[in-house]
Parts: sequence; C-alpha cells; structure tokens
Amino acid sequence: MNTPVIDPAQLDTIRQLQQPGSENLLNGIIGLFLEQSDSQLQRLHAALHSGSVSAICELAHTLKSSSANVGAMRVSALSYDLEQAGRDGALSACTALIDRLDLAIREASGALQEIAEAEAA
Amino acid sequence: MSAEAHGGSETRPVVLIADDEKSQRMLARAALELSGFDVLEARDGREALSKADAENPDLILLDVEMPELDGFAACVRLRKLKHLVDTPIIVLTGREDDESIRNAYDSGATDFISKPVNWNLLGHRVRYISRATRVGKGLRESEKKNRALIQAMPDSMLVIDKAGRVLTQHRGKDGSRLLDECVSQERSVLDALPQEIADSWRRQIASVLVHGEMSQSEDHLEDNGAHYFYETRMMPYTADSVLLIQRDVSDKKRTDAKVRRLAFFDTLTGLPNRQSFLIQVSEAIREAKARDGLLSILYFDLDNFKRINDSLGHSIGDVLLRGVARRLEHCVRRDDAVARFVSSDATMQVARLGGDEFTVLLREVQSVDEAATVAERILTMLGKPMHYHGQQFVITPSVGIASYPHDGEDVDTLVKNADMAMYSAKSQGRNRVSHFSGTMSVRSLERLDLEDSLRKSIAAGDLELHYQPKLCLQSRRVTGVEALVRWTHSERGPVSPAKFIPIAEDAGLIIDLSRWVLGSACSQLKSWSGTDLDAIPIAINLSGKQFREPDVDLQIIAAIEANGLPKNRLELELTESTLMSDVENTVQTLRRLKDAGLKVAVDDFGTGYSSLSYLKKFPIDALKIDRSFVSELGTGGNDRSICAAIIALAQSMGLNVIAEGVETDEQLQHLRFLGCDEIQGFHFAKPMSADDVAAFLRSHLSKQGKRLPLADATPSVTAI
Repeated sequence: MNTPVIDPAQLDTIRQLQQPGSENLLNGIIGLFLEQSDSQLQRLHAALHSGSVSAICELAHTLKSSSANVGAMRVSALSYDLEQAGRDGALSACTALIDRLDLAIREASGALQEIAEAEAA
Repeated sequence: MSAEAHGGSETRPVVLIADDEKSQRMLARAALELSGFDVLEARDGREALSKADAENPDLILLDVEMPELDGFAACVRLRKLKHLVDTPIIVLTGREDDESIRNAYDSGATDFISKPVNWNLLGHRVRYISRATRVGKGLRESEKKNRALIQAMPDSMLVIDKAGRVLTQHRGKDGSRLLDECVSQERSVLDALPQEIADSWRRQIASVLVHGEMSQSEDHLEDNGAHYFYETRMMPYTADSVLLIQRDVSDKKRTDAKVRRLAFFDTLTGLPNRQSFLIQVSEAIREAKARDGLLSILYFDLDNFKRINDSLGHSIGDVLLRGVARRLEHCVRRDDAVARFVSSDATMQVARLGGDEFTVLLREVQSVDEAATVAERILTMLGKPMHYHGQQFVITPSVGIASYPHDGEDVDTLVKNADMAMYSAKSQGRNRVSHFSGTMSVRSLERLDLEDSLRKSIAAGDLELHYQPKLCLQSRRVTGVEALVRWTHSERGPVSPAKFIPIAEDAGLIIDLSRWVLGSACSQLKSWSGTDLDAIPIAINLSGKQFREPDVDLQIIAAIEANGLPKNRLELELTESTLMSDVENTVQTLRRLKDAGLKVAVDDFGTGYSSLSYLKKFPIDALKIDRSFVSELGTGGNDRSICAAIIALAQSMGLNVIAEGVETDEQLQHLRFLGCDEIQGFHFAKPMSADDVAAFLRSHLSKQGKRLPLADATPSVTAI
C-alpha cells in the first residue's frame, strides 16, 4: 500500500488552525485519538464478539472521522469499509476488517506518537 | 483571518457546534475562532437544543449522527423555537450521501457541509452562510415594511403591461371606483375605462415606456351624476410594464370647491363677493385697455335698508337682501328688459360687496349714457315693492356710476369713485343715479378728514360746551341756558355745528357726541351746585338717534344722578322731526322723563311737519320758535303771523314759548307784544364759554339785586 500512515497535509491543516498562545492543537487532537482509539478498538472486538452490528457501525462511524481528523487515512478508509459492512450485516467481512483496523490503528498510533513528540520539542 | 463583518468593538457572532466527536468540536472551534466567531459546544442533539434555546447563537452547526437526538431531529426542533426561526443551521452530513442532504433541507437546515470537513474552508463557509442569511433577513424585513407601507397607503396600485392588462394590483385604503371597475372585469383597463381616460392612459403608458419618466394626469369620472376625481401617476416598472398609482382626490376637490365658494361668493345671496368683484374689475380694465373700450361700475346702496334691518330684524333684512340679489341677477340676464338697453357686446356682472352694497360691472359699454340707462332701469326694477309674509317693503337704492377710463384707470380709483358718486346720489335726495365728477373727490376727502378728526376729538373729549342764556321777558330774569357744542379742528380752527353735526350723524358718531354733551352738561351743573348759580338749569339738544335708543331715559337719569343733581336742573330739547318719527315710543319715553322731573322743549318749532293732534299727546313743556321766523319779524310778510300763531298755540296748550335767534330790539318788541314768554339770542346774550357765562350770570344777578329764580318756578309765572 502506498498510502502514507499519516497524511502530512492533514497535519498541516491542523497546524494552520493553531492560534498563538493557545495549547498545541495538533497534539491535543493526536492525544485525543491515542486516548480514544484504543478503547474504541476494544469495544469493536466486544461488539463483534456479541454480534452487535449497530454497535460496530456506530464505533466505525466515530473512528472514521476521528482518524480522518489526525490524517490517519488508512484507519479512516478501513472504518468506512467497516461501517458499510456492518450496515450490510456482513459479519465475516467485519471480522477481517476489524483485524486490519487493529493493525492500522497500532501503526498510526506509533506514527502519531512520534509526531507529537517532535511537535512538543 | 478575521471576521470581516464583525470587527472592532462589536461582539463576535456566536456559532454553536453540536458533534459527539470531540476532535470534530476541537477543530471546528479552532477554525471558527480563527475566523472571528465565538464558539459554543454541544455533545449531542439534546444539549444542542438547550444551549441554542438559552444562548440564541447566530449560527448552528449540527452533526447528523449523534446519540440521544440526531442532527435532523434536532434541526426540526430548533426551527420550532421562535427566536431561531431565521437562524442559519448547517448540517454536517456524511460524504456522498444524497439522502442526508435531502433530509437536512427537509428538516429545515439552511445549508449542509459534507464530511470530512475541510477545516481551512469552514470559517469561510460559515461566514458566507451567515452573511447570506443576514441579507435574506434584511430583505424579508424590508419587504415587510414595504407591505406595511403599501397597506397603509390610501392609493391604489397596479402593474399593467403595454396593453393595459393588470399584472398585479393593490387596492388602496380609499379604494378607487375607477380601478375597481376595471379590475373586476378582468380585462385590459383600457377597454374598461371611459374612452377619454383610456386614450389619455394609452398615451401615457407609451410615453412612460419610451422615455422612462414619470407621467401624471388627473382623471374625472362621472357616474350617475356623482363626480369622482383621481390623480394618476405612472412610472416605468420593468422594460414592458408600468406601475400605476392612483389616488382618489374627490373629497379634496369638493373641499377646494367649497373653499373657493366661501372665498369668492357671498354666502347670504350666493352672488360673487367683494373679492371676486375686484378681480372681475381688474380683468375688465385689462380688457378695456386692450380694446380701447369703456367699462362702467354701478355702485348700489339701499337707502332705507339699515332702518328696516334695525327695526324689523336681521331675518327680514336678509330676505330683502336676497330679494335684491335675485332682482339684480334677473336684470343682467341677456333676455331681460334691462339687457335690451345695452349693446350686444356688453356684459353685466353682479356682486355684493357687503351690507347693503351691490355692484353691477358693465363691460364693453358703448357710452357712459348707456351705463346710466342701465342704472335707471335697475333702479326702477329694485324700487318695485317686495312682499314678504304679507308685508310690503319698498327699497330704494342710490346708484353711483364710475367709468373707465374717464373716472379712473385702476380698480381702486374706479371703485372708490363709484362709491363717492353713490354717496352723492344719496345726499341729493336718494333713489337716484349720480355720476362721478372730479369735484366730488375733493369734497369727499375733506369730509373724510373732518370725520376722522371729529371721531378722535369725541373720543378724547376734545370738544367744548358753550352756553347761551334765555331771558324771561316779563320778569327780566335769566331762566336758564342752552348748551351748544363747539368744536375746534386742530388745523382748520372752529368748525360750525351746522357742518360737523351732520357729519357726526352720517358717520355714526352722533350717539357718542350726544353722550359727551350729556355728561359735560351734568358736570357743569354739578360745579355750579352749592354756588349762587345753583338754580340755573341747562338745556341740552337730543339728537333723533340718541332719543331712539331704547334706554335713553335711563341714560339721562343716570347721568343726572351720578352728579347728585335734582332732575329739574337738566332740560331737553328735541326737534319736531325727532318727535314725529315714532309717535308711540316718543310719548312713552317723554312720559318717563317727565315723570322723573325733567322738562322737554320742542326745538326749531314750525319748520318740521308737526301734527297738532300728536303735539297734544306729547307731555312737553315748551315750544321754541325757529330762528327763521324770528329773523323776519318787523320786515312785513307772514312771519309775524306765524310767530303769533305759534305763541297762541302754545298758550292754548299751556306750554311755555321761547323765541330763538332774537337779534334786534325791534324783534324783541314784537315778541313781547305777541305775548312770547322767553327769548334767546344775540340781542340778550351770545353763547359763551362756561367761565364767561358764569360771570355774565353773576353780573346779571347783581343787577337784579337778588338771587336768580328757581327754574321750575319761571315758566309757570310767565307763561300765562
């Protein structure tokens, strides 16, 4: 896959929204993603386990935009696919997508962690 | 970036962002704050509702998918809040989601933004949408105001096309008969209108569309005898339609006409008034000047009208004035006999100047004689008896004529000279025509000046009483004095009473003058009371006008009492004509005066038309033989026998008799021989000032060596 883990353009967009004197916006957004994505992933696995399609859709929908906001485009794309699969009731597709999502989130979180550290320095 | 519409000290517009995703809210806040907005956050639809209700934000961003209440449901409920009806609401929809977009608009959203949100552009979008909303709101408000304006306007408005078809219409508060008719018939107004108006409108529509300028007309509609007037304005509306505004001005027209009538017509008779007359004359003068023609003004005054009005009341006076107006109108009608006497080009116009003054303006007369003929004819017509409620009235006018250009070349001069000529007709014995002549104006000016000065002198008490003693022939004692009013004009010197008394009478000053005389005589008596002149009575002359005042007796008695005098100290002299003018009232008034203790003498006896049978009825005390009979005594002729007859008459009626104007010893001897009681005249004493007469009386008294006799004792001693 050629898609970068984190879209630098999205990061630049957030940097442009930074107001002087305010807390670092990018780090705030990244922190929020790091904080929430982990628990959301766990809840996804739980939903899958209990076969709750609507919970899967809801979580995927949230992940879709929160990941897009930090430029984690692969996570966002997978969340979109997951949301669609959930809507279609395709549980097996969901299982595969959640596994891939799990991997993508870990990847993105690592990259974002580095970016946040560089940003704070 | 900064908010372009909200800089400086103005408060920043507030945006409410409702999204359950925190990073969405954080980024939205950052983007919006950068663009100059303040931001409120809500985590779900329910919170969005309560915050929006409480904070009244300027714009709301709603995410579609939220727990509790989703974006669409929240939008529907927000729109139901009164203060948020016009607030822009932007829904954040999922990408490529047509259904969401449709739902957003269906639930009342102003606009949508699809996700993922382009945060760099969010500020611009929000600002644009909020500005568009503001503009829309402004438009709606301005439309509302315009609607209110249009509703309140009395005018009717139409938009019509070239052919006159009505595109839109608004019926004004006052409505319009003209338009109601057109519009209700649902066809071109040009077909529904009367031909004349339709033609005028067609021309106007064409002109307005070609030139792009307003056109205005006044339209008149007659419907079953009622008249309606409209002011119509047309202006370009679009390239091929015209806005037509119409106002019903019928009421204004009627009011204008009424005002005109009041301003230019006499309400009593309906004739043109002074104002219109003056305008007519000035027009006529212009005309005559242009044609080298003649015009004449006939100025009528009704000789005896004032007396009729005073004695019979205004209502009868008004009836007579209307009668005169109708007769005059009749006279000037083309087919009337009077009109036959004027040349075919001449026109006649009647007016009432006020009171009992009427005018006839004769335009384009051929000669002054023609005007005179007309005047004579009208005089004859007006002089015919009028009947009202079984009573017959005869009104005789005096007419003055002044003609352009001989007697004046401008309005003022002509009218003034016609007026003067009228007065001259009156003074020549009334019921006649008089032409203006140049000498009239000199005399009249002199008279006006005297009148004015006299009025001022009376008001200032700037007159003087002189006193002429009367002598009893038998006792050779003074029996009293007659008060004679004297007036000295500041520039002309002394003016004879024979001159100023008639002026006072004509100018309505005689009452004031008489009151002054009464007051002055009483003060003089008061100043003599308690002195050796205590018993000298003063006789005053009462004018006819004063004597006919309803409370004349009370006025006289009040003046005497105000000075604390006995009533018999004042004597009254009245002329024969005064006595004879209203016998019944005269008898009663004289009776009251006599009962109060006053003495009354008949002045200038023998010159009027005394009816002996009436004379017997009057409770009088003395007759005064007119000076004209006395002056001829001793020259032969009838006068001696007239004096003898008057003296015999007086004696037979038990009246005292006094001869006036005795200037020679010979006259005195005749009178003594005839048995006359008293004399008055230069032979014994001239009229003298108060001081002089006091000195005269005292010297006379001392010659007699005793006190002067009491006035009331005198006549009885000497009369028989």
